[in-house]
Amino acid sequence: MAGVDRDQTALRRLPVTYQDSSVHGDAAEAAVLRAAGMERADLVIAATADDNTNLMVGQVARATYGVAHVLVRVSDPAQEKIFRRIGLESICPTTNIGDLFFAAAVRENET
Amino acid sequence: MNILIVGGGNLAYFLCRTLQAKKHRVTLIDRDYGDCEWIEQRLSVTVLHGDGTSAAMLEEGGGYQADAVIAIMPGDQDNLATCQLARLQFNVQRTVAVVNDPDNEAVFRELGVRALAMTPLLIEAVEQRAAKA
Repeated sequence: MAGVDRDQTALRRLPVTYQDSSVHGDAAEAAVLRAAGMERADLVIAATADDNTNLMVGQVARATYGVAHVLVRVSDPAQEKIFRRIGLESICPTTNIGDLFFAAAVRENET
Repeated sequence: MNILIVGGGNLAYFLCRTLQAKKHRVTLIDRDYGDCEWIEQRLSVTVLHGDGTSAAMLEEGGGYQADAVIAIMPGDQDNLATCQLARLQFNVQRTVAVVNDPDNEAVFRELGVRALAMTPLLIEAVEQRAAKA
């Protein structure tokens, strides 16, 4: 496993075994992804706080490096549509949490 | 042509000014409120303050009527997102993205987005100059 993060302190929170393989840098920079060993990756997860970065990293993983499994996080539910159109497998925590609250509220009403 | 520019700074100002002089209808979307005001006071282009990487903002900026979209933000990922949205969701035929990381020029091309990297152009210019000297 290799992590990429712009924040050095976030990388230091990783288990020691993964710290050496991790790269401190911006995932939107091609050299950073290369340094993290993307060409050998079987699974890439793009889960930064920035949807556009995730959109780009996910596509780079798939198109440039031919990574078999790519998973991206999207925070803005409105952006989910474009992720799907591009064909990226995405997870939207905002939608998931919203659904949970909605389901809970419906249950509350029924009782 | 209806041209939508996403991004700010001096480059946005001069692009707007030049395209306007060529009789194009220009709309600018920029995240920086101060830049928006500055350009609005000087040029008669439509200026919108907001995030030009969101579909809602592109629609407000006339995405469906745009003939071309130019993305000139400092983040390559943002320029990619805008150009892909413009093409896939708004069916804009001509999109151009500025890339800051020269390595991303090839990456963007592979993803079907026309990209322009400034760094190689500048380096080529100085190297040619150096070769002549």
